[in-house]
Amino acid sequence: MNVEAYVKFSKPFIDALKDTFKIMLSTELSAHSPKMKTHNKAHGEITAMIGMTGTVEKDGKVQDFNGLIALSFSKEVYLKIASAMLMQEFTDYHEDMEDTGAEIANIVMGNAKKVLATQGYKIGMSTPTRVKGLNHEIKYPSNTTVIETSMSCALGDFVFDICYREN
Amino acid sequence: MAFDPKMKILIVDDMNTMRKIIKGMLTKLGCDNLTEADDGIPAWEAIQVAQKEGKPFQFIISDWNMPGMTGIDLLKNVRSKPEFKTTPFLMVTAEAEQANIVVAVKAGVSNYIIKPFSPDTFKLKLDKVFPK
Repeated sequence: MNVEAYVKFSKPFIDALKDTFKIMLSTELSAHSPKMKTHNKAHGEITAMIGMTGTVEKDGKVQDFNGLIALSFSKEVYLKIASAMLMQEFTDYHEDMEDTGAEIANIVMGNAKKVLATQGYKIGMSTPTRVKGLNHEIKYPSNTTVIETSMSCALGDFVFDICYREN
Repeated sequence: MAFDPKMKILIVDDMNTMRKIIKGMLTKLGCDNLTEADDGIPAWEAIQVAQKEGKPFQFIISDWNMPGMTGIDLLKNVRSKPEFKTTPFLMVTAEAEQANIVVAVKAGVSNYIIKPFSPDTFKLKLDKVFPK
């Protein structure tokens, strides 16, 4: 995928993430310049992710594709985000916030899916998952290109990965 | 039927976060008779048990995507029984595609809400499910 195609593919995800933060967390999110990621280490203690598989029709040809989106947070930022989303102040990790990041990933994927459908993508979503722990790795699907984008808002910074491969 | 904060409400979602968000929004509207289920399967059981006990749920709010029984299958089960034909049913979904909405309307959904949503949007949807 060239840079132009990547930008077009990733825009619905970034827009959905911004909308989710604006509507459900009452905070404006800004995206920094995306860059290629060449390792599997997460930029944070908690990562929420959701996979996608499907087909894309371009120029009359149908191709399979797969990918994943991942959101990696520091514990401090995750607590603030979960507190804002659950409308409850948390000062330490609590079981109520276990799947908060996964729910955000789920909403982002669901909304991006609708927009990408207008561009010829038919996307199947996997069940969102979560990985927790210092220096954990993210299992990106093999041979995918991973682009990471640092995101900033009043609640703190985190990293949003989008990976994709046409088969 | 008008919205009554005292009504018995079932919230169905496999994600704890979304159940807590909806519960929080309903609590702020004065609701306190709230039951949670983490999938369509336990929800369907709870709906039938509540009916047998003579204390049926008066409003069901369900996510669409759940691993055991989906929200649309739960809705179809509910509408298949005469006693639940008119039970208000609000579908919550992150997949805003028109095809999904058509399927839900055909299955008898009262209304639907697309994630992400604010408390104000949630209240507007409740007003549509329960017109004054």
